[in-house]
Amino acid sequence: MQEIKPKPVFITTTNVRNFQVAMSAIGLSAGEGRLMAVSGRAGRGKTRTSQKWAADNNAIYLRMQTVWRTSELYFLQALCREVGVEGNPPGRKATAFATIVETLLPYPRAIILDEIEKLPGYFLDVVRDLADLAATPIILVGEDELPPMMRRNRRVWSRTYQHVTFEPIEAKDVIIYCLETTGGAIRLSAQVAAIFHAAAEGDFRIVRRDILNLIQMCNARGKTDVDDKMARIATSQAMRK
Amino acid sequence: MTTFAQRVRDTMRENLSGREFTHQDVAAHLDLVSDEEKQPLYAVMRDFKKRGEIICVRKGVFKYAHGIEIRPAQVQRRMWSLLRSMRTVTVDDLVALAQASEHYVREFLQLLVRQGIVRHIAAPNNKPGKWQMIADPIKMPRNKDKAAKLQALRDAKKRAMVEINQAAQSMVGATAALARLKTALDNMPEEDDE
Repeated sequence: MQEIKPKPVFITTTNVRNFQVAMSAIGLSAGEGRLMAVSGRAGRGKTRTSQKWAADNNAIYLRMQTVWRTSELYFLQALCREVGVEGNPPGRKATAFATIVETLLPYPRAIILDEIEKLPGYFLDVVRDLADLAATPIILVGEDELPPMMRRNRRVWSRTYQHVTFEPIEAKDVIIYCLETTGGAIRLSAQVAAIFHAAAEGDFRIVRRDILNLIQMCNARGKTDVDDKMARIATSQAMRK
Repeated sequence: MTTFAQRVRDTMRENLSGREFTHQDVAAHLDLVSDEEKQPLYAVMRDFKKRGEIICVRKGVFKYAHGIEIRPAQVQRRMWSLLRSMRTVTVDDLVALAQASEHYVREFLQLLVRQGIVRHIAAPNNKPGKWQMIADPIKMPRNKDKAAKLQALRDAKKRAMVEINQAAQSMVGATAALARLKTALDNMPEEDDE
């Protein structure tokens, strides 16, 4: 048996597909300032999916910082840099805001803001104004606290065109991931995949770690037939939350 | 004007997408018959394979990997965007997310190390290392080494063309002088034997 070298892959899970469909839908409203929410627990691929989408589509990705909570100015200055404003960003909120709008209007680009639920609710009003005046879609990515935070702001929620929830990964995602990362060398049965799926508790990072353990075991034993026992050993080796 | 590489790409996308093909299949579509005509095709397909645009299914058999047109600059922009959003990446991260080849990712990261934008963090026990962003110029830096090499190449090509033109003009002059000499010789009266 040839040694299996895991290939780096990004698989299109149901969550990723739903995200892509929602982004296509929001693209149809080009020229209008629409908001979109993407939420779900940690480890379900929201951030990675958003980062990949931003890279593929020349969108702006910005992770919100906790230290910005005292003033919207820091957020606006960071956004100035991301949209490509030359030199030092303006030192006043209103000027920074106007500069962002001015820069985006002729060349609108989607903006993805990750972890906004860390910041006070009034940041959503700034985001809403930006979406309206720059006529650009803004996608807010966050954990389970994000949708209630947005719903509490009626003006924001009424502009929220799409809401995608990243659900726990499915057993079939485990099968597909194993198949693709091993180049087809290891095919998991539904029963074995269920063991990995149960151990991961919906977190893709754990699936990745467990599959890596499995690959090492297969290489050591020189076989690619995976049974329940091997699956249990592979899942018990990784660290758990 | 469509470049040869673009014609090859268009052929693969329009006529060979979704199935396995060989060099000969592509050559047939492009009407390349002799070995000499096929040489550029082999070079282009080698580049495509390096970039990950085609994948080698088995020896001599390929499949077109992408449904959309991929240009190196596009791939580089994707890698740059991902590096800026993730801040610390592995080679595997960029291979998977930017759909770039491992070779291209490493070349790109090493360029950024030379420019002081990224540093490599080695991992123990032969584990893959990480690449951490230590400076963020926002705009993707240009490959100055490559730009300098290309400029030197262009300058050398320009100088060579000037010399070729000068040599050609000298040849024209020499040919005219030889023709005049021949005419003069032809018109010279015959020597008297006496």
